[in-house]
Amino acid sequence: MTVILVSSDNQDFKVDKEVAERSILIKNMLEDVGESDSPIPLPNVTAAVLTKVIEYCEHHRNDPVQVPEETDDPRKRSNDIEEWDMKFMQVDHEIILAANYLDIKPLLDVGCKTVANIIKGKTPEEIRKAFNIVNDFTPEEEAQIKKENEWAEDR
Amino acid sequence: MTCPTAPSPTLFTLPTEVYEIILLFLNQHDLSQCIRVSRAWNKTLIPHLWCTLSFRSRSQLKRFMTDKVQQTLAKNAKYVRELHLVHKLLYHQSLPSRQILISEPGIAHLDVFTIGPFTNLHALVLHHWRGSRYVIDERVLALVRQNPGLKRLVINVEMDPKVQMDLIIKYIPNLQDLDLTVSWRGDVKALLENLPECIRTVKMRDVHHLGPGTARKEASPSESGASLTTMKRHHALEFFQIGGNLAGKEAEILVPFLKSCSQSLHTFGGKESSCYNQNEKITSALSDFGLVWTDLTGTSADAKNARSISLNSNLTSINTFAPNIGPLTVAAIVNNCERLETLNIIGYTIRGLMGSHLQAILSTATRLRSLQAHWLLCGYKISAMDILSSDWATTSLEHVDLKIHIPRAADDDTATAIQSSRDTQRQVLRRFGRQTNLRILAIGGMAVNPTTGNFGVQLSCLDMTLESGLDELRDLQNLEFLDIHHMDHRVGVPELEWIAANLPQLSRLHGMLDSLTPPSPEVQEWLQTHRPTWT
Repeated sequence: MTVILVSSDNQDFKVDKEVAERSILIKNMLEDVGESDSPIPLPNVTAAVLTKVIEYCEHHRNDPVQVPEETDDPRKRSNDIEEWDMKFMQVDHEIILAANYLDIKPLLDVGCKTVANIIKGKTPEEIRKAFNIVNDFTPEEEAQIKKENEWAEDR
Repeated sequence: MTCPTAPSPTLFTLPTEVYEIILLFLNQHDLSQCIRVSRAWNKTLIPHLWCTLSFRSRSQLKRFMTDKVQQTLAKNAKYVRELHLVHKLLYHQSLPSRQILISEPGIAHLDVFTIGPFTNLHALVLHHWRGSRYVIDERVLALVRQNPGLKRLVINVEMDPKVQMDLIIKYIPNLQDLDLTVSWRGDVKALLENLPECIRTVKMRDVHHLGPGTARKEASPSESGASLTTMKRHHALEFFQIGGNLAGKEAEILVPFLKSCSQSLHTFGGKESSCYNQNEKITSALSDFGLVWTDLTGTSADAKNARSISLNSNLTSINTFAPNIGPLTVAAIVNNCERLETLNIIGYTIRGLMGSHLQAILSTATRLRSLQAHWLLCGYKISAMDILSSDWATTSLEHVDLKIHIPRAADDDTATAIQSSRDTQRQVLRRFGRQTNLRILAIGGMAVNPTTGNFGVQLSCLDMTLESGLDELRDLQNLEFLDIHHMDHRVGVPELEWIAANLPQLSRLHGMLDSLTPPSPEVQEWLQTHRPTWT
């Protein structure tokens, strides 16, 4: 069974129901509507982004549904991204926004991990470079902040 | 959705709930770097950096106790939600101190506690500190009273049992999670009956029951008398663990408490002991919840799994989520796998299951049909050496899904290195080629750099080319699914032609088109012309 998704720029996408239901938002919509052929409008997602999201859902259509893990450490691991997912996420943060809106938890997680990995292990200067940020601290201010918070560093 | 002061398009323009997920993947050190990036990052991230005050090392604590940081503490203490008191100095600095207002000997004495730096805590962890007994009790009580939002309390420090009891039942009305690691002596019955109503998890590792009679010195009779009639309801309780000694009053204490719980309760147990799990009254009360007494003294899920696996000598099938698998479970599986037909491990973050264990299972389990450990990552991948180190016991494999680590040569390596890698790959594929019942074969390599554990380096997976032994799969006449995913596409037209000619049942070749590297123009052209059913 297929469903039709309509992007914000009015393009139709025909997708297997099973694939579309990786999005909890769409799954709930379909459940609310019941058996119906009417297209599902997704006003927050452009065709370009929707293409990528569908590609992701196709690739992961057979994945088991994630169970919440019990762990003592509230900090999560970010070094377990599948390679396919990693290449995939090199696009941009619009995918993260779409994953959030469409409620596709594994995609949202992968996106967030990808951003976190850009930050991890970098110095402040390297982070600025990576995100194209201008340092608006005076050298004195920066030294002060470093002093006040360096207890948290790994050394 | 866009924050006006956003410093970068990639982090803070994301909705708050999204960038907070990102922050979950960053540790204290990462955050300590982020706050130095810019003013906007600093403003947004300082509360996150200070949210949890815990210390991993002595040197870190030393850096924290400097004057400079202590000045900052006044400014940032309001952000601290979770406080771990790990050291005498930290106790003294964090706890409110006593101030004498009036002291006229024989006439009046009045003292108060100062307001301590922390007033916004959700979790308080009191770590062991020798010599603490009675020195800090009242100050801890003062700290707790200044933090009405506390939800989680871990006590692993010696205190007056009476003060601990007061702390728990009187001064933390919103307590959800209680972890009493330290030994506690007192009226366990009264403690349980008066636990706050929103309590969710209780861990009491070592309690010793002293009934109201014996404990009279510590709790007044009227208090314990009252507790009998005013048992609170514990609708939210999900997890309960008790250890120690209830002095023969096990049923008398636990059965009424159980009756105060609701169907939210899913785990109830403690030490494996006949006074609990063979007590008919407790067993019967638990069965109303569909529960049995659970042994929680081992290392939780791992020990439990290991036990149930080793007790079941007819075990044929194991389907489990990886987080439940630790070293004990793995050992139990390996020791009890002779009859095993199916081993499916779902999910990632496996602790303890190594490639060598899979090999041990393969060499023992004569009936093994399905072996799926798709998420085995990095260092835990089964290696070519593991595969080739001993014979396999089974000839009936139908479904294999795991990752194999191959010492793979790069294109610019020496001819000898390339040939050696190809020979190894051929031997590995020959193993699989003998399993003529195979229908699903997913041994595509996850691309992980074995030295760094990072993804993105295509060093360690099977080539799946004819030169590297693809033709060893020629007897797999039942093969329906072949996964070559995560490969960098050394597969070319000769391989596709070989697959088309030799694998008659193949209905899906996974990872050829929807992959990282697009196939070469020749391959695309071949696929266009031949349009095989399996792509």
